[in-house]
Amino acid sequence: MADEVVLPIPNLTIPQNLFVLSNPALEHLHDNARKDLLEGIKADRTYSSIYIT
Amino acid sequence: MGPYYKSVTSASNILPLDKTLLAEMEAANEEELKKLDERLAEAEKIEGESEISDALKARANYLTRIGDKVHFLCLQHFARLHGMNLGAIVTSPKARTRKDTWARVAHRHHTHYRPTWILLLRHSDRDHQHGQGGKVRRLPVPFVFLVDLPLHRLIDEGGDWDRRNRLKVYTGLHFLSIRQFKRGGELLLDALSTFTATELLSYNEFVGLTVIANTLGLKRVDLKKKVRTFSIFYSHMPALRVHSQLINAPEVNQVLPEIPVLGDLVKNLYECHYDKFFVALGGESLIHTPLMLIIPFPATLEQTHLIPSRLLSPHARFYTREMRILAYTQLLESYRSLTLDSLCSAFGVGKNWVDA
Repeated sequence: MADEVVLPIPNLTIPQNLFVLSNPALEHLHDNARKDLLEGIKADRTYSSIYIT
Repeated sequence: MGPYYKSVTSASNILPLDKTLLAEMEAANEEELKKLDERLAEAEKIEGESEISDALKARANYLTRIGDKVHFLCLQHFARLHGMNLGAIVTSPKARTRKDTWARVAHRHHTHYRPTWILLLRHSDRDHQHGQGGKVRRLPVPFVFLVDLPLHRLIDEGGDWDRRNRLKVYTGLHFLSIRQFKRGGELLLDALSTFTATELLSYNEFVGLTVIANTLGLKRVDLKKKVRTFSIFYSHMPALRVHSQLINAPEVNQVLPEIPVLGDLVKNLYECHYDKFFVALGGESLIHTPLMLIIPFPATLEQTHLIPSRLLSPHARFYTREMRILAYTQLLESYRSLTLDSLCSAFGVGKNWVDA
């Protein structure tokens, strides 16, 4: 891998959504967080293998 | 993302498992890892050490991307055992003797360590145990790389303004996550007009955090105008005089209408409307205000910004308590004596609450 290749930062809303989902006090936010978390995971799934040079 | 999806769905009932999706992800991951394995085997057979190291890095990066923490940490351990530290290019004497500038080296260092911290950021690894020479330290926040790397020095010596500003944002967030609101707030305020770290958080979130941190960290007069003398990271550096303000900053004025509760908080604290300030802040004091009879659950900073935030949630009670103390101090310092009635009327709370 070339030294200059800067790896993209992952979608950091994923751990935020996971945090919301794991907190029972934030139940009113769970539906949106669940939807966003699944969408984030699906979006990262289609990531191409740029690491292979 | 197969391993990550699996870990999320198996840990609890927070996300239902879609078996088709998981199978699809696992198949894609397996195929990719097979290619990386072939590349590694080929490198081991016919190529040199740097190619093997590259192949290992590629595998580590892919494992990071799909959230396979266990295998990534195993691979990192394996690489270290075989003298192929993922960050070796920076620490090796060979790298230091090159004609590279420090900025370039810092950039490489950043690049090579990124798999580790990307993984830790994603996994919220507050308790990641990092051992060196048999010692095990418990690192309190996911921003482990800030503690581990000499990035401050490297960027100080050769980084450009963009990297300096990014580092201010990263360090500021790190300080907020360890309850150092004053230090974090100063760094965020410095980066306010030149914010570029959109990979970490959105601009509105950044302004929100800056306001939250500085409302607690700055004195009332400093909220409007502040002239500070400080040195960035090292005492030997020449001190800088920075003119910065919070309330009149155009960046803040632009964003605050979108976050009304935050605007109410700062404005009411500055204009000494403590009853409204308490309502905007939320927390225990709110249930003692007459407003609760009209609107049972008003939007408050605590409910909308502190408790739902992964970064600020552990400090929500601390923050609301400190803000209340700030308001009490601000009022009480203005008078020699104050009756209980006028105090209650200023804060919009009952006598019992103040007495307690």
